[in-house]
Amino acid sequence: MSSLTAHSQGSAATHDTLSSALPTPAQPGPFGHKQRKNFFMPEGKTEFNHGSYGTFTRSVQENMMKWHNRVEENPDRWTRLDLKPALIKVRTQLAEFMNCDKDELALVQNTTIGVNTILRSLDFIPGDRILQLSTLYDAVDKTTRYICDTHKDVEIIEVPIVMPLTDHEIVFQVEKMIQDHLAKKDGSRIRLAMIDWISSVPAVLHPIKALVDMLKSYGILVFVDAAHVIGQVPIDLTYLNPDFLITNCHKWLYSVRGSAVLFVPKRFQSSIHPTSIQVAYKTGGFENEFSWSGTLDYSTILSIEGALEFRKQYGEDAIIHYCHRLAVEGGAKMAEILGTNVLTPHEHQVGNMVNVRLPIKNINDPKLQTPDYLIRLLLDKYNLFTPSFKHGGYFWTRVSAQIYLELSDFEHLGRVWKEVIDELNAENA
Amino acid sequence: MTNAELPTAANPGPFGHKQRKNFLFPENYTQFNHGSYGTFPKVVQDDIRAFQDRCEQNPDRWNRCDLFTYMDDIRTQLAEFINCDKAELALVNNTTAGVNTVLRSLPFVPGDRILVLSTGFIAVNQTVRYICDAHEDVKVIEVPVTFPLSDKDLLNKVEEALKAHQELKDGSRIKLGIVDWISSVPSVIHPVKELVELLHSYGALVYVDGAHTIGQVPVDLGYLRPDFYITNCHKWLFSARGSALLYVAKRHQHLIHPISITGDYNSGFEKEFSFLGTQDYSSILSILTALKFRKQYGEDAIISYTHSLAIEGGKAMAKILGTHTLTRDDDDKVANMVNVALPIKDLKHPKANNADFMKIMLDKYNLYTPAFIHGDHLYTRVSAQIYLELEDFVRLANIWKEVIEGLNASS
Repeated sequence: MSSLTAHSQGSAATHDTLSSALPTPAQPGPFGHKQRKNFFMPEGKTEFNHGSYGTFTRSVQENMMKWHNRVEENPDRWTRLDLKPALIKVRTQLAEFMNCDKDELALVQNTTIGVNTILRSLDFIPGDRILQLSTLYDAVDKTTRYICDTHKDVEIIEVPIVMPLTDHEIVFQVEKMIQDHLAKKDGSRIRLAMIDWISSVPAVLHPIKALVDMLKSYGILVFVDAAHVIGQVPIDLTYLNPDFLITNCHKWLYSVRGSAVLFVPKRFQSSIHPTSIQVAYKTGGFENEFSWSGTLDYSTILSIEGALEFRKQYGEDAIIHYCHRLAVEGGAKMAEILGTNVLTPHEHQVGNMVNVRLPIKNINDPKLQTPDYLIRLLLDKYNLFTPSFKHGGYFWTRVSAQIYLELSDFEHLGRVWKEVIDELNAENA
Repeated sequence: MTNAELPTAANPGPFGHKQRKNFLFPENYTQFNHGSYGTFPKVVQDDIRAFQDRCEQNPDRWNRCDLFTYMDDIRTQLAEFINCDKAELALVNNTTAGVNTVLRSLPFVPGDRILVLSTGFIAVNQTVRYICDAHEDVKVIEVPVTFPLSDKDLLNKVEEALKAHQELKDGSRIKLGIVDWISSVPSVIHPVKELVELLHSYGALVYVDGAHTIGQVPVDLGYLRPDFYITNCHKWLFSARGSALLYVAKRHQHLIHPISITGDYNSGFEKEFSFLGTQDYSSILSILTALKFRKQYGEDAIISYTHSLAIEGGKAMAKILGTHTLTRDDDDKVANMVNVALPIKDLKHPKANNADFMKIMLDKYNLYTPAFIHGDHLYTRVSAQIYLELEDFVRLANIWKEVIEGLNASS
């Protein structure tokens, strides 16, 4: 546990002296295949890609249906009287979980909406620059480009990030880009930085505290894309103190898809409006503007309650420790089988997702230029899937550890990928 | 079925209380306000669960492959339902999202004016306000409308506003007009075809807010030809909440982007709107089950019954209350929602407001119909549906009579 808490950097959590009692791949405790029955996976199907869409437990679905049914008992009473207090309760639970003020939280459907909420509310003026890393999520990149397309003289400054890099090197590269920009003295200013806490592809746990502090020291607003964070690493917003943060509960917290939480400190709230303007615009204040997104099924958001309940049985430390150790050891095992390596030089750069290099001989193989061939092959022939991607001149696959997996699953996956790649290499021979 | 055979309030056929078992209502609850949040039959809820289970069994196959097949099928079916090109349809979560999608995409420039009616839905008018705040010299022209108003008078009022603007000769132009097809409170069917033509003749784009239309009145976009149109499926079509349909005429599609930009930005309208980001799509997919449920009876039968019930129910309520309906004998201005005047003596009574009425109705009678002041009267809006019968309206009228008499006694 020590490597994780010391280096997760988004939390001031101290070394856990009971770490030896926490579940590991060798001693899974309540985790491993015995967890499968709590989820929906059919026989013969193993979920290796939790990171893309998440999944939820049967108990969470029951919780969601409870909310769903409650609405139908009296939709007017529910919508007009009971919904808002129910949302406040969820925000209160999340505020405790993330160590912040519940009134600085807004519940939204997903990270992309959260990103659009902030970016489309901020008043960008000519000369503003948006700093981002090249490894940022595609939809976030498209959103910053949309902002540039719709504003005069607003441009992106992109920091090329090619792993492997140490934490220190990542911070250094970003800072260098800022200093290079300052040296230009062209009248423009870096207004905002979009920074991943845990990037998607490749999945890298960034030195987020160091990045936030460094960026703020230059007077740059920091928007932390923490889509993958809650439930994967400890999160302490008072310690991290970003200007904005968004995280998906439906990724690693086990709530139903369509449940995310946006952090907006009070000092910015008067200028931040939802992507869908509501009745409360200008009259209701931040809480009211974000308590109603129009007629929707809010039971997915409310299922966060069920997710937190499920996790409490085991404790965050146990879940995080098991998944992280499994990702590290599973990744090493797969790399061994494939005769390759993992992307990140240090264990603390991995949360629950590990990137394993695929020994493909011809990186320009036409079958690999779009995702379709591999999606079909993996799903149809092997009944599993892990996303693959090019990075730094190599081909990688990203694997998500979870409480329903064991080391043997990673071994199986390693053998499957070996077969797939051997076949592709043979075709190219 | 011939017209003579279609169900009516007097001859409910497959409709009325026998429909209650198809829905999720508890024993002691009657839904008189379908118009606000809609509701859906049990089979729709079962399918939501089935879609969810299917997704969870293989989230990658579902989210990368199968989901899109279903979304596509829905647009195919709805395109046929409302007579338009499937390529002009996008599925969104609700009307407010659909309105924001268009308004926040259109490139408003200084001097642009947006025309709305005072009876427009409040969230829509607030969105227009936001657009004005967020742009230099973009202003709203609000046409004050008080019903009852004949179609001719309504059109004249709008044309007066258009002419008055022309006379200003200040270099500004009316870029867009937003008009209700069926307004919310009060609920009135507007002469929408004529409004579209009128606004077009003055060079304005037209966004038809059809939130309340699909499933309540026949919709034919080939005939109507608006620039933009939005409708909620979860209001009158019986799908689950969070399912709406946006129409954007091809000639405007290059301008329109989702309120939440995704990885498909600049890939073309259909692609850009094919994915709304990670959410539970079972609400949107429930449109399929809703359409299947309705097919058992046919649109004509459903619309005939609910419309007839609204008219007869409204008449019965007005008789009991000693008042009138907003639209009087103008049956064509009512679809499934009827506005009944309440016999309050003092319009300014401190408790004559929706919030206070709601408390009484929910706590004492376990039902609710929205109350609002319009013109010189206090009205309540009642929604007819296939699970209601005339006697429900009689019961509601007697309840409102009791409530209003209570207030009148205390004033």
